[in-house]
Order: sequence, then C-alpha cells, then structure tokens
Amino acid sequence: MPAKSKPRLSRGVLDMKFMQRTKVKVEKEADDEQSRALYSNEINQKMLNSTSNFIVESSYSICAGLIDGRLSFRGMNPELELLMEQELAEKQGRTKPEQPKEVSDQDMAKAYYANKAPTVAGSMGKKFSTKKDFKRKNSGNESGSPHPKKKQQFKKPRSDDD
Amino acid sequence: MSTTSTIVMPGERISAIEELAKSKRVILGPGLRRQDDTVVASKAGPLRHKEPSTFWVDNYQRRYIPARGDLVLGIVRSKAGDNYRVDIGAADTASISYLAFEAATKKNRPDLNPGDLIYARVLNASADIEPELVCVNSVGKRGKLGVLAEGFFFKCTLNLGRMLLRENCPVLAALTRELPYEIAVGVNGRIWLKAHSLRETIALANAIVALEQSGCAEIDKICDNLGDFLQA
Amino acid sequence: MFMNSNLFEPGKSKPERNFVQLAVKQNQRFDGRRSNECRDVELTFGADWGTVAVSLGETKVLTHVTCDLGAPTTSRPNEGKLQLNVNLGGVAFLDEVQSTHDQRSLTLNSLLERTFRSSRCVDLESLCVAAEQHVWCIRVDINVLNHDGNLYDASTIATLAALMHFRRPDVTFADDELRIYTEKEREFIPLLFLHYPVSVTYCIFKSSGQPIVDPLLLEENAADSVIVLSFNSYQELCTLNAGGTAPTNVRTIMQCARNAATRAKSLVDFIRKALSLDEERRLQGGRLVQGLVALIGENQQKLSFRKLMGHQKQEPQDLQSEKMDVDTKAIAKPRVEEMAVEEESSKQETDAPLDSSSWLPQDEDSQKLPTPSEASASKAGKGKQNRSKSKANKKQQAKKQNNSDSEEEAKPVI
Repeated sequence: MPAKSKPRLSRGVLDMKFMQRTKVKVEKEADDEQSRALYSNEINQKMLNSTSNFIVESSYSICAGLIDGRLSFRGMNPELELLMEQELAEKQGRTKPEQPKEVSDQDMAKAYYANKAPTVAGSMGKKFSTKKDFKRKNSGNESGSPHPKKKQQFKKPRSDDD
Repeated sequence: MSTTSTIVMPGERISAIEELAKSKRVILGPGLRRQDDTVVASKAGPLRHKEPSTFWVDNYQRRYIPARGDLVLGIVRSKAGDNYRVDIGAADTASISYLAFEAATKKNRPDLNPGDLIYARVLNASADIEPELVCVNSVGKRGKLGVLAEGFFFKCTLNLGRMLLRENCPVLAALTRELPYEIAVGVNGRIWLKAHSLRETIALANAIVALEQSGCAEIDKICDNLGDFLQA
Repeated sequence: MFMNSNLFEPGKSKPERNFVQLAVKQNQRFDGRRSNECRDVELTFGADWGTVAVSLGETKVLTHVTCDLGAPTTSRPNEGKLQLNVNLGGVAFLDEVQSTHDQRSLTLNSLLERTFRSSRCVDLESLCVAAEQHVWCIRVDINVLNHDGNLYDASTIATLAALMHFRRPDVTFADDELRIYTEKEREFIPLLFLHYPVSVTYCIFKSSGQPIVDPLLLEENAADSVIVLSFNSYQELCTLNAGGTAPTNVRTIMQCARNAATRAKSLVDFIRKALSLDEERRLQGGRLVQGLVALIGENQQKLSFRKLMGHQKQEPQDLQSEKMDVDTKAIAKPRVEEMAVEEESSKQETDAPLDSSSWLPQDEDSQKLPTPSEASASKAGKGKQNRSKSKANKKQQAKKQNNSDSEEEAKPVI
C-alpha cells in the first residue's frame, strides 16, 4: 500500500511550533482519507471519474429565464420604475453592438506617452540604482536643476478627431 | 423559448436529451432527473426547452419547492433569535437573518413584525435544511426586495406565477393599459398587488386569477372586461 | 402536522385580513357581489336516491344518504336513527388535525347535528318497523369536495336536498320476519319531514356594521365573527351559532335573522322545485348520472337557483319574518310595533328581494339610533301603505320586543 509506506511524522515533531502548518495539512489529509473510507461503498469509481455532461438546476426562474417579479407601471412607485429603467438600459447595452469609441486607440497611446508615462526601462532602471544615485537625484532637484521637471498632467484628447 | 408540446410522465425516459448530452452540456431543470446516463422525468407535464440546451418540465403545482435564486413572497411568522421565520408556502418555513436587509447592523435591526409581507430571494435551498432568504443583493443594496406595505395579496398556482414572469408575457403590459399598478409576483405562487383604489386592486386580482383558466391568449378579452368594470 | 399549515388557506395572513376589512368597509366584495347577495346554488342529483352534489360558487359538497335496518336505542325504542358524517378529507389545505379537531369542523358538525337532529326535522317515528326491535338507521355522508367559504350553508343545503331526495325500500314485519321489498316489487318510500331546515351564514367585521352573507373563504377567514342561522321553511329558527370576537348587537343579529328566514324559505322552495324537475326527468326515463365524475363534471345538467327561482324575484317579501322566536318576552305595544313593521316592509319592497340592507340606517360605520326625522318618515310610509297585516303583526309583536331600537324609534311619533 502506498499510503502505508509513506513516512509519517510523529506527534512530537508535529507539536513543535514551526510545524503548525504542516500539522494542519496532515490532519486534513487524514480526514479526507477517513471520509473516503466511510463512503467508499456508496461512491463508485464511475461517479468519481465520469465528467458528466449534465448540470442540474432546480430553479424555474433560472431555467426559464423569468424576469424579476416586482414591477410598477405608470408611476405607481417611481423608485421602482427607475430601477426597472436602469435594468432595461443595462440589458439593451449588453445586446447592442459596441458603441463607437470617442477617442481612438492611437490617440490614446500618443496622449499616454506625451504625458511621460513611466516606461518599463525606467522602472527597471530604478531597481538597479543605488542609494547614492537616489540621494544625488533628490539633492539635485532640491538645489534647483536647470530643467525642473514639469508637473505631470493629463492632456485633453484633441477635439478635431471626429 | 421554444415550447415543445410533448407531455412527459413521471418515470418516462427522455432519450432526446440523452442524445444531446453526448455531444454537449445539458442543463436539467426541475422535473427531470439523471440516473447515470439516462434522463428520466419525475413530474408530469409539458417538457419545455430553451436554447441552447435547457430542459425542464412545466408541471401544474401549488406547493412551492424552494430553489436557490428564486424570488419569493413570504409572510413573517415569528422572530427566532437572530432570524425571522418566514412562510414561503414550502414544506418548511424559511429563515431570514436580521442582517440580510439593507443598512442593517446589529444595533440597527429592521422593523419587521409577524404578519408582514416581504419580497425576498432564496439564498440557500436544499431538501435537508430550511431555506434561507435575503432581502439584499450581492452589493448590499435593497434593489427590488424588501417589505411590501398595504396592497392586496393572494395565492395562485405556481404555473400562473411563472407564466406572468415569462419575458415575452403580454399580460402585465396589457393590464397596465387599463390602469396603473404595482405588483410583486413570487415564483412560489403568491402575488401582491397595489393599485390606486381598493376597487381597482380587486378588479386586477380577479383579472389575474381569471388568467389561470383562460391562459395568455385571452388577455385582451379580460382587459376589456376589466376596463368595463372599472368604468361601471 | 405542518407548523405553517394554516397559511395555505386564504385570509389567514395579516395583509389579507387588513385588506378584507378595508374592502368590507367600502362595501366591496371580491366577486363583485353586494353584501347581501348570495352566490348561485347548483344542485345535481345522482342516479341513486339520496345522492346530491351541491355547489355554492366554488364550494362543492357531495352528500349521499344510505339506510340500514338496525336496533333502536333503549331510550327511544320507537324511533329510527339519523346519523350525520362529515368528511373534510377532500380539502387539501386542511391537515389531519385541522379537518377533525379544528374549531371550524367542530362547528360544522354541531351545526348539522343541531339543524337536522335536534330540530327533529325528519319524522323518526315513521322509521320504526317494530318497536324495540327494528328501526331504519339513516346515514348521511357529507363529503366536502372543495372549500371556498360557507361550508355551512353548502352542507345543510346538500343534506336537506339529499334527505328529501332519498327513498327507502318498503318493509314488512310479520311473524318475526322482516321482508324488504325491492324497487320493482314495491315503490320506494320517501322520508317524512316535520319541517325543512336550512342554514344561512353571515360574516361580521369590526370595520363595518354591515354583515355580509354567503362569505368566500377569504372573507370567512378574515371575518371577526361568523353567524350561522338555521331556519325552516316556516321561518322558525332552528339553530343559531354566533361566534367570534366582533361586537354584535341585537339589531345586527335580528337583521341577519330576518334576511336568513327569507333566504331559507326560498332555498327550500328551490330544493322542492329541483326535486320535482328531477322526478320528471326520472319518469321520462332520461339518462341518469352515473358515478362521481359525471356528477360534478361540467356537462351535467345542473339545477341552478338563479334559473329556477329567477321569476320569483319579484314576489313581495312581506312574509319575511312571520315568526322568529329569538326572544320570548312580550310587551304589548301594538301601535308602535305595527308601525315599525310597516316601515320595514315598505322599505323592503323597494329593493330587490334579497336586499334588505336598508333595514339598517344607511350610516355603516356607527350604528346610530334612528333619529326623529327617520321616525317621522316611517309615519309617512305608514300612511301610504296601510295594508291589513294584523296576522303577521301579531306574530311579530312577540319578537319585536327585544328590539329596543324600535321603541325609541316610535316615541317621538307618539
């Protein structure tokens, strides 16, 4: 039996402080083993292995795609009607073809880089910079470098693209 | 939803579904049961099919069997510890936690009394434990759920409740051409109604109950009757 | 027993109750009836003697009468027996406990018992074959098939109709030998009746002083009290069953009794008429209904109250309360009584026969006492319709005394 041959940790070892996580794992394994043994005559191999094509759904509302049953008409309950409208809009949004983009992908990318997005190279470079580099950079800024960094800001997308 | 009109009987094997299941996943709804690779009906009624591969039996029934995800109308029966007991027309009472309401905390409990009517979603349903309800959605908002005040409430068959809730059902829209109203239909065969006046509410309730016998097709006739009644 | 079983029936939850109270207050009923309007009664006679199905709207009751020879009780050696069995098993929303030990089923049992046995409507002595030895035991099985309110009336109508329809075989007893004749040998014999009792049910709500007749299940369950009155065709009170929590005054009960007596009379007339129609059909050798399904099926020819009694609607109803011995105290005040009666009858005649709601002052919320102006109106009415009704009035005097209102009503006039 492979289970038998597997080495087991003694209780004394498991009670040690640094073995706590292992202890939980081992206990869980033992539990699983036990429950499998308990139900072994009920669960056959087929049940364990067969990948069934059947999904059982006991709710009529899900099967038949029933709508929510709380409705209001002609201003009986404005709060509820607002909710219904929102839901309807959402539904239509889902079924309608995707709305045309107001800003093209290209413009988006341009605007992104124009705003000096951090490049991969820059962020990786930071990793290799030393404390000294960092200090120097900071002090340089404080002393007022000839090219003070512009404050980053978003630019509006150009309006002439439609 | 296509309505195939085959009637199945309990114990009947449905080989059409078995065939389909060989090639793709099939969803078996209420009234159908799987035994290994065979599919057997467990209720009597017309077999329904929804694209792509959902099947269920639309049987005639009055006793509600709780199912997860259903929206039901319940009557609060009592308070029990941290829960309310709610009658939803099933074999067992359902429970709903104090905390399953919008903005409810341990200190700020919802004000519910025995006899109140609530519209709730079934969170948990199993044959062995009592069903559990909630009155909030997954982000903790009330949405359409909650306590229903005033109005009239009556019971009908489960089928009628489901019929009203079908996506393409013309009934509720047709009724509102006659008068404004507010309605809550539980799939547990309970309907709550509220219109501007008592007379209108009674008229609506009778119109809906009449549908049980006549079916959707006669909705125009019923609406005409309703209109006549309200004018009288 | 299910913990929540009583919620399966309508009218048991708070929202329903509140709504019904409100509806009654506004004089609205769920099937569009007026508060004093009854549902149509339909009778269907089966192939066997004593098999009757009654439907009162959706309430359906099937009654079957059988007979058997047996020994009499020692206390009444020369009387036959009448046994009434109610079976509520057909009502799905009542569970085992409710259908046998519930307040309502007990009320129903006692109502039938008092209406048919205690009132001695069937001549039991005629059922005696040989004193202390052989008597007929009549057994009535009342099966409730569907319960949509007012089971009381449906059951009593069904029981009365079945008993009236029933015929027993002829029997002779000579030389210590019983001989029962078949239908071919000798004609079957109908039962002998001393009177014909039938009940009428009223519901009373706290929100409104106006009682409603023939309640639906929804109304019955939501009602604060239910009053069942059994009257026979001579308009004598056989049973009064007033329960519940609504404060009911004498005036309300008297009003109910008055209308119930009229209703009972027309019901008995209807049953008689239906029986004669059935007999005609039997003589013609028409196809008889076989089996239960045919009996309650839609295609069966039903004898409807509205159709049979329709033409009688115009009949004056001044016989309405010939004799109602609710109270026996009698104080002679002839003039006053006469006038009050005149007022009622004059009002009644203007309305439809079953509509006697005008008996009460129009104000529904508070049952105010009649004001002098009303009384003077009655004086005027008296002048117009001065008919000789001394016979009816004499009988009414006895009963009218307990109605203290009528005295006050009259004082300003005198």
